[in-house]
Amino acid sequence: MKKELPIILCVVSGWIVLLDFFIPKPVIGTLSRAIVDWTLILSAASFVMGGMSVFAVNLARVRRRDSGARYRVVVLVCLAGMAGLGILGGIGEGTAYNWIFQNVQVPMESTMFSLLAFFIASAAFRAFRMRNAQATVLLLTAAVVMLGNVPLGGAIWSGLPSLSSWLLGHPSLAAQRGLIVGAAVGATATALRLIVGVERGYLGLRQ
Amino acid sequence: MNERVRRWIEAVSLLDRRFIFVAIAVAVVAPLLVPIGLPLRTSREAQALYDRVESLPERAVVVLGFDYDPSSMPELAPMTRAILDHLFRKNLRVIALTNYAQTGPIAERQLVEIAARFGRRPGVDFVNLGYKAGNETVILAVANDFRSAYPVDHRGIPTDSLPVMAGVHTWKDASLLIDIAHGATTDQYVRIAGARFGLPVGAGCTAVSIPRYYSYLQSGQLVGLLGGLQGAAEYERFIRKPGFASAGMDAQSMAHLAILILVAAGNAAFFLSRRR
Amino acid sequence: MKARGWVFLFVAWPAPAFAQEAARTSAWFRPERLNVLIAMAVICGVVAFFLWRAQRDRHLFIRKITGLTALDEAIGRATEMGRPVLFVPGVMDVDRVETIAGMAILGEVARKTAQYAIPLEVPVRYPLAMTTAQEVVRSAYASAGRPDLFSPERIRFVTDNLFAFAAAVNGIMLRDRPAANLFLGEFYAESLIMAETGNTTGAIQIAGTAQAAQLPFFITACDYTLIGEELFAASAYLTRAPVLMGSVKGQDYAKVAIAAAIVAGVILEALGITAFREFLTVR
Repeated sequence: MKKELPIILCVVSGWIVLLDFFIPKPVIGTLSRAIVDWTLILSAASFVMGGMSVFAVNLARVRRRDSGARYRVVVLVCLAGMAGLGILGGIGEGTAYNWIFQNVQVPMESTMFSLLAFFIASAAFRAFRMRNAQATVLLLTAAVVMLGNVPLGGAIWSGLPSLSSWLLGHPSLAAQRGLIVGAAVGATATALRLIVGVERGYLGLRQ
Repeated sequence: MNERVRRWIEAVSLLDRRFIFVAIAVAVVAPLLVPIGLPLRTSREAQALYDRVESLPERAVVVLGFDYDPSSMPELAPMTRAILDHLFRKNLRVIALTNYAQTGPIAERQLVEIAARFGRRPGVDFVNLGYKAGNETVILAVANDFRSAYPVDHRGIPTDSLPVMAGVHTWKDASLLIDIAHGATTDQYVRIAGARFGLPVGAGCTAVSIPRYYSYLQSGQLVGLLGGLQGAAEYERFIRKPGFASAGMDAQSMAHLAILILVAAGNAAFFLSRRR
Repeated sequence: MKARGWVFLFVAWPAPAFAQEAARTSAWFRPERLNVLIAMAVICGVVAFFLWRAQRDRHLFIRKITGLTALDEAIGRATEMGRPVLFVPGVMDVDRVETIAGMAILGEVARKTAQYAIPLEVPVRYPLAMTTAQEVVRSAYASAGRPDLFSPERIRFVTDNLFAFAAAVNGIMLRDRPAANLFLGEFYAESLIMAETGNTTGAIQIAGTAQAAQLPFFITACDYTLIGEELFAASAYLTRAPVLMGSVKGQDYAKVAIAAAIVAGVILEALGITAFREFLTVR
């Protein structure tokens, strides 16, 4: 039963939400809404479990003095510190929690995001080689789009932004749509396998 | 000569990635210190979003999705600020929400600061519904009722008691939804709020996500799009308030140029080494 | 009695809404969604037909998917080097189909790492994804006959913050030096940050996502990339379960049907007939 119950729940929930899309009957709408609401409650509650997991896993490794234990101490101190500040002093404007969030968390995360610019540059340098005709077309197209999407492109040649826009809106979009259609059909087939109960890999069960 | 070429090829081929990082840093920082003032061109999709907001009657309801976390703030906050400026100037009602746990306070700060410039009041002219766990499920839940999905706002005030929420129950009661996002939320809004409830959806996204939203633009499922810092700069131009995004466009131009120069150098070395 | 109590709680809780809506509608179908129903019936019908056919014809062919074939190479390399395998099942929760597809591959990977007794690290971004991944790996270790090797600590929730999560994954790559990095699921802007860091550590990298915007990054920084629908075909490819193979076959025919609809739409639009497009517009 331990294995069948999750499949039954998945199949029944999937069908109810799907039927609600087509059938405006109150009983189906009510059940569908209840499932949606339960999902919201579960999602929120799962974060408590997540926090406990972070604490337990890191504490166990610090106790065992695993490699990298000092980093785990930092995690535990920050976790407990921020949670304590939030619970005791609140999280609104003017609180210590908010100050740390705005002045430590925000810049640190922005720094992580900004790494993207550096990594794009190094990846582009490594990958963009005119090895054959296709790679040459790829490189030239990339150059047009990169320049056309910034003011410099328009300053070099006024037609560059329009050319860039055309490349994005036609050849690139056609390829993207092909990918999206394929992926959407794949997702639909996977969803169908889920709601008829034949896809069980996500439960760790062999087919 | 040959020896020099050989050395150059070797140097470029084995270029340490830290050199690339320094080159990009210089390309970004230098124009911020010494602005070049390159002329900015506006796009149709940004113009379309501005026009859509401009066409809304006073007190119409606009839902604004703050769907990014602090990491994407440098790229997405400027367009959020420009849009908020426009919304409050036009005296539209703003309902803000987010699918990211950390973004409630960020949204609150931006809303309060920009609303104050126009004398707009919390609860009356705007509300920050804050974060609700559940991603797509939350969007589905709002399709049933805003109040059941968000019984209280970010400040803990019951949603039902707020004048700004008067007559607003589901997606159908809003006039426009603008999702400023660095993830999948725009697709979800297009699928649920747009396709199922007929709510016009506009979007703001990071530059890297622009190509993916062109299909929605062409099919009319997105009424307008702001892409990255360029999109923000365009919106700043529409509202005639040049800000951070406009200042950053020179830096972005130079960064793109630096990448292209590096790629060109890499290819030159590649060709020379092949010939040798 | 106990069971009846639960039913009461489930149904009575939203009772006012029920009554309200009962008054509003008595129809059995939303006619404006007929187009979606037809499209769904065609796609699901084709897939379901092949699901059924697969029960009888067990020799369906799926072309070789290099990225999935390379999984053995990646795990073999980790075994030789005595280093862990890192598996990231995307950065979204289990309500996303891509995450589900990633989890199905995780089960197969875990079975192999259990057989070769090499550590498998699975950082996840959502707590529900963590419990799902733990269950998948636990079952895989049990089915491989090595439940003793299963360590729930290795399948851990890190943070729901996207770039903090990317930083944590980078930390694992730089400190533990996994021999193989597998990124299979839904990814966004963090994809390049993780894949490029993995590239610097020299690990063999296999990625797969249906997010078109992230594919160029993965193709640039990883050794093998599953493109779009290949990710969804992975569980069928790896398990060779006839019923799953059938659904993949059905996907192909569904795509043919969509392509035919696109061609028909283009021709009709060119002729000035807009009824087809209008019918397909979702309301």
